[in-house]
Amino acid sequence: MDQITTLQPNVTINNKPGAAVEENIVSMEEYLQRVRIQQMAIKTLSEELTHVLDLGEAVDVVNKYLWEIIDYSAATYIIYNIQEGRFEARSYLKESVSSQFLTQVKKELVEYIQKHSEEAIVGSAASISDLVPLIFGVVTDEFSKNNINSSFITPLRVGGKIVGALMVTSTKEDLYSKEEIEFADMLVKIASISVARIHTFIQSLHSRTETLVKSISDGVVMFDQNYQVTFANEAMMKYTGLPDEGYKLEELSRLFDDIKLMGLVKKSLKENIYIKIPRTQISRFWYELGVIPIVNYKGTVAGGAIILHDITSIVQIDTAKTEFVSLASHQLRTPLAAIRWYTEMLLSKGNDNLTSDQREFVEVILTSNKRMINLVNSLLNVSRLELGTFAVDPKNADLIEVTESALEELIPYAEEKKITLEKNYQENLDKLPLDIGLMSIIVQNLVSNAIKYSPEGNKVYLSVSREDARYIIRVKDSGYGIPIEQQQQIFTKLFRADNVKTKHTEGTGLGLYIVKSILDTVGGKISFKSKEGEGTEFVVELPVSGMKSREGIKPLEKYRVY
Amino acid sequence: MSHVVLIIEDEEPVHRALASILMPDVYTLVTATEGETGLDLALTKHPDLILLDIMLPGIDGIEVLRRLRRDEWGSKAKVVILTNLSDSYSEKEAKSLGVDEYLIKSNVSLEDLVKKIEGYLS
Repeated sequence: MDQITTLQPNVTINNKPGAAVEENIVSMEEYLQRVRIQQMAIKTLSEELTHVLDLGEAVDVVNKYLWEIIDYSAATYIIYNIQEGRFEARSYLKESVSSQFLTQVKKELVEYIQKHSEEAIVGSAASISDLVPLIFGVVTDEFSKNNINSSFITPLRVGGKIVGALMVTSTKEDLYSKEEIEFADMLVKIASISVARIHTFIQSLHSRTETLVKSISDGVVMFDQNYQVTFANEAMMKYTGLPDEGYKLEELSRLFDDIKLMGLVKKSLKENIYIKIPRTQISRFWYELGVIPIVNYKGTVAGGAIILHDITSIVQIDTAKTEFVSLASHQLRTPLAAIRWYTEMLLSKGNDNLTSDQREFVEVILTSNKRMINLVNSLLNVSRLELGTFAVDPKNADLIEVTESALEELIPYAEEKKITLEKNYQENLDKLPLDIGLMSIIVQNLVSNAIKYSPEGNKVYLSVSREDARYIIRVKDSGYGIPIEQQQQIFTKLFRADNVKTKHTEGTGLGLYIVKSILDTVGGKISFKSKEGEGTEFVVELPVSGMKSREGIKPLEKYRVY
Repeated sequence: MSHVVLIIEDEEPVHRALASILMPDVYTLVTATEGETGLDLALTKHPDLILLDIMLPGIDGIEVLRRLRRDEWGSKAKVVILTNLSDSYSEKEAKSLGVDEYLIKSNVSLEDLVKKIEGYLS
């Protein structure tokens, strides 16, 4: 309140050059009221502008205040839109005016801007004089509404540069006191400063980001809504051999043989989602690729970026490792087969030359030998799963028949451990596309685990059924169970739970990893419930559409020797 | 009547194992340790069954099979692949060249192998 009382009452001055100075004595009360309103306006305007980034938008806000406080016929703005590199014009009509009136306003504003704005802005904006203003209000053909009788122009600035102007006009004469002009100017300045401050902030962010993007070793390319490349960093230019800007994204897309980049980009921008491709190739180099939509301050997608992360050396090491495992496993099979067959001959019915101790020892050799054979087969499967080169070849099959035939090989093992297998099959199930080999691996792993991790004489339950759109296989035991703190890890490679490590030396820690990897690939699911000391139930789900087929050169090892 | 079984295999222990398990009065075993000699023996002796390995010195088992199938008798010969190689295109290739079975040595017991041989020759 102190501020206001210190101000002296003022006189309104006609801003028209040469017009007679007319003194209108304003009552103190009226004056104070007006100043109060103006003060309030300035205060709330600043608050309203806190998050306004766009000068055009700021001008809309300013206009709201002008509308309330100043008497005018038309308030017209011409503003340079920095983002789009062109001028925009808007006229807000508080009273109807003629189109001639508006044409004159535009002409004067254009002249003002051409005179005061920087060459760079005026020059870069093609044909400012062809601007067609957006008009909010009623345009009339009344002759009386043709003349601009009072007016003033105030510039719109960003960072000290004039980027537009506001012209307030009226058909009435003798309006606009110095005070009113100053008030309007003040509002516009507040708007400009507020927008400029946000712009400076964004620019500093932008330049920081740009420096960062330029210097990182990942390749980054940015493009606009028309898939025109606007920026590529050094790494991207090196990876693609393309320049830093000025080409269509299709050119980049053509470099990838194994993915449809344009399709991914369109999907990403349309749905505003980040898309990641773990592995793709440009000639002999490997990359992880990400597509990111770029959203502008209005929250709409304005383009996007593609990021390439070079994983060539990782892929090479990974491939070398997997190939080594594969090669070593094949080489191991030759002596393993010889050991197997010769121990089998020693144990064959016709051979009576062994003492009972010797027979027992040879049996241990054979059991160990079979475990090594299984381990080799599992390692080969893991290497194929990890290389992603195994085939899925589904054929219409009866899930129960496939399950039954997978179980056949397990019968001697179950008998040896005196485990009863209780089966519950739903009748009349439709056939579905299944890769029989893969299905056998799944069933055998789960059932042999249930047998392995159950005390002698226990029961193992197996059921096959259809529930809604899924085929469900349940394998349940009342064995040792999985400790709760280790349940998270059971599908990880080489993991074995602590409680069974001590009970059984057998087991590779690969079975469930393989089962899970297969199900992930064929479109199935696996889950389990377990309580230590009470048992475990595994649930495999397959969609009624069956397994998804996949081209690959290597089938998985179906065999497991018992 | 004795059945002639040709084993094309460079691992000597495999020959010995089969020699000792297959009844000599029922089976006559012919062995070759290289692809080329194996093919020659097949085309001259016309065995009742060929057990063929894939990884062999000289031409490999797939090539032996390919050449065998070009021969009039060879096009109908019974061939079982007995190998440790399951990690390549070879299984597909062998099947497209009409083998009766593709066996992985370490995955089959000697007893089962003998049963299978008997099965093919009965």
